[in-house]
Amino acid sequence: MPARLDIDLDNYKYGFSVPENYVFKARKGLDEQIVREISWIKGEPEWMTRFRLHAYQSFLQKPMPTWGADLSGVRFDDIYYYIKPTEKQGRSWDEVPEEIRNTFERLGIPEAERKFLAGVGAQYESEMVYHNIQKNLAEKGVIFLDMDSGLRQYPDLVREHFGTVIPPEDNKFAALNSAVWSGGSFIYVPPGVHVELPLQAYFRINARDMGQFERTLIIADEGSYVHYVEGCTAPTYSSDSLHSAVVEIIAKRGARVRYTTIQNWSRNVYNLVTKRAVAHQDATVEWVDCNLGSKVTMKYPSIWLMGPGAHGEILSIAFAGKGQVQDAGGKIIHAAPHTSSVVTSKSISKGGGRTVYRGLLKVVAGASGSKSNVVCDALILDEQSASDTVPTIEIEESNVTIGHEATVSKVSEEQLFYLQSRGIDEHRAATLIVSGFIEPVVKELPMEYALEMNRLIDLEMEGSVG
Amino acid sequence: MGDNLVSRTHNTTLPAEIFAREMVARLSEEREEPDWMREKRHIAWSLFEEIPMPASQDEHWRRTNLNTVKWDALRLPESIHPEPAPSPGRLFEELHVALNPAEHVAGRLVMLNGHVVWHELQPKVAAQGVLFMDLTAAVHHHPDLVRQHLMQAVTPGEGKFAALNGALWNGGAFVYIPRDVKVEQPFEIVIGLQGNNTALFPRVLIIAEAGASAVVVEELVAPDHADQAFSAGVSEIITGAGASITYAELQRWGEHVFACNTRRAVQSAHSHVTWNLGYLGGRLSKTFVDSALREDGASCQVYGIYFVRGRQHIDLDLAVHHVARHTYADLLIKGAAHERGRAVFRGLIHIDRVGQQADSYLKNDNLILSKDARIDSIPSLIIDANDVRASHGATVGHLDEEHVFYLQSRGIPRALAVRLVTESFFASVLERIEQEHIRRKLTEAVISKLER
Repeated sequence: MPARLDIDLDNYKYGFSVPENYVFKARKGLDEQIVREISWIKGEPEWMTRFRLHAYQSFLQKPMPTWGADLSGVRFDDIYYYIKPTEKQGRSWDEVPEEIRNTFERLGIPEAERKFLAGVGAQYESEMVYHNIQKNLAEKGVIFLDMDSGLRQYPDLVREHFGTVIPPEDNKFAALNSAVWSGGSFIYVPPGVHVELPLQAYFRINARDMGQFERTLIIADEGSYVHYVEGCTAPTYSSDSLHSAVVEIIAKRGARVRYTTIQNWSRNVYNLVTKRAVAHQDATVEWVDCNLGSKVTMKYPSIWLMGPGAHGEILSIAFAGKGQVQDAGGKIIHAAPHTSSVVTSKSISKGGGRTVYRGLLKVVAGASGSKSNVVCDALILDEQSASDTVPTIEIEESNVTIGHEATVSKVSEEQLFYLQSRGIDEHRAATLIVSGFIEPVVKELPMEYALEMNRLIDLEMEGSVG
Repeated sequence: MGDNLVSRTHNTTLPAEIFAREMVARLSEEREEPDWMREKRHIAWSLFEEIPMPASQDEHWRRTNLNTVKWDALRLPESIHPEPAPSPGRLFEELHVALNPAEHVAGRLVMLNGHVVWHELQPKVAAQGVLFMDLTAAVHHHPDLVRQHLMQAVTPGEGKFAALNGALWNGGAFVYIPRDVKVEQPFEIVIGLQGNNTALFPRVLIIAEAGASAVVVEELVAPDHADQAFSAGVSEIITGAGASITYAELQRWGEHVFACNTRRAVQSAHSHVTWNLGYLGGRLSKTFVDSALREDGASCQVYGIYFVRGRQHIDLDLAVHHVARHTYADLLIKGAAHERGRAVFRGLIHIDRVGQQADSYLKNDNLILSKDARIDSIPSLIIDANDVRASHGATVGHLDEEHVFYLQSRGIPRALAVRLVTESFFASVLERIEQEHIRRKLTEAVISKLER
């Protein structure tokens, strides 16, 4: 848990007074006072308080999206916008829903890790691993902290980049996050440094990466490489009904950043996330985005290709089961000449779920020689399920090569028949076909995640054929 | 999340005084329309008043807006009967219509500002019970058929301009093909628009009874050079079981015309509609085209092109709705944008929950010919059934310089080489057009536009 913050009240320059008997009491809903309180409790510099307050105004002004999934169930007044970590500890193992505990069991997740994932324990037994990694990273000059610590320890670096990729005015949920953010990761990789091991949020001690309004900022300096992994295949239990993160990535000249997300929120969560990266000259940014959980997800990782030779890649899997809407996709903006991009999307819907691929591919005037290829495939596993594909292609430049393809189909009977003729039962056969379908994305995941992903698909597929 | 996907608000209002309910009454009066027709017009007018002007929050209107229309200046064309029609030769020349009066057509109807200036129907076609005339005549002579079907496929309630057309339609055509009658030669409908600030609302109703088949070509022309003109047209196609209709739209408005048109086929079991679409003219046009495959086994094919240059803006909003079993659709649309032209293509394949065993494919290829041109392509799939095949593909590319270079190396000047390569880009869709008459018309229109 975070150390007691040093707050110098004498240096506090804000126009509100803190009553002597002031005790921060978490209450539902959001107003300017709560935004100020969050900033005050964290002992943030003045510019960040201003940033938050400005963002709050923007949140009030921005309309709810009029497109995409049904968000009428989001109740802004019924949410705790900031809970002290000590209060969060109150949850007991018994409160974790049974199906989630069962899934942990089936995935073979160690006891300690289960508690961490369910938000019951603070962390699992990775202290040694963690320390070794931290030592190794520190030697290379890599900064890997939670966002709050990042702001305290590297205020100038944070101030220079924070909110530059996704300004608070971007959309209603980015504004909300900017006003009330807490937790998330702050990563800085110095020029030329290659971080060999994927950085995983739960290696961080005090990792509050599973927060409701987490905020991640990754700066990859020139020629560096880093792979960041967010989330995990096991279901992440949350009693919060809204998760609204902001992730900003800056890949400087020649840098390469890969950001892998495995989203498996419990089925009560509205997951409304803004993720955007800028890739400068010859830089590469890759989003590997897997969405399995939540009630509703609306998330479109974007890449702005800002310098000549920049390359962007989005690989995604969406699995929508009963009652779920996975409204995901990606956006690529070619804003410089000779930039290239690839989007590969695999969607599966089952048991009444709906997947949506919603994409934007834009080539601005002057980005000549840009190339892009988008391939979206969807599988619908039963009569109750549905799938939409809504790519948007906007081309303002003549010298381009742009291709988009999308297919929606069911599990091929021919393939099923072939596998069954080899003595594989129908369920197993369908699972194999689905695994094969998502293989192009799964193979890009770190090994342990890929294994868990296949087990998870197996679980999701149970009873899906027939 | 991101704001690129979020629309911004623009508000445009259409001043009510330009068009008023009195005009609805006057139109009906002058045409001595029966009560049921007056009533349809008045209902449509009420809906027109109710429905807000399309705004950019509406996905269909995000990339195209009619903000630059000077609504205040618009007026209906003189609704009194026109002077005697000029000789066909002169008229066609005036309309720049590349039709040859000697050509074999089943019937031909030429209208100028809503008035019939030429009408012919081959006696042997008429003898089979085929009806082909202007819509006003049909209201008088075949009230039962018109009353039953008019405004049923495209209802006035579905949009501001569908409602405006329903209330103020002035001119248009009626085609009726009786059961099992097959007419091979095309019916040609030419809609001419003349004069500064003219507002024209043509309406076409095509009914093919079970087992019938016909080819209908609707050509839109406005050759003069006025400041502006506006047209909101509607075409309704109703096919009985097993019927087959080929409907071609050739839009060659002059570059002062703003337009918003709606074309729809409502299809019964095992009926087939082939759409051949060519959008080449106009200053700014938005066209909704869709087939509703309402009964089992219905199918449609859409083969079309759009081509913008100068400051033109063309928006084609295409959809196929699979709402029955074993339906089939194949769509190929190719577009090119030159100079400062802007093209918007939306293409939706929608398979309803009941649309099992649907098979649907859409392809949209685009060619950008200049640095200042812009093309937006939004193909989309909304799939609510699982036992289906649905795919789409879209490409945007530039002129293949290798091909141009090859032609140049053979002594062909660059400008001509570019023209030839562009022509060949369109060739793959044009050659799918089975009706030679339509294919030739479209090809000639493309070539003449390229040569401009």
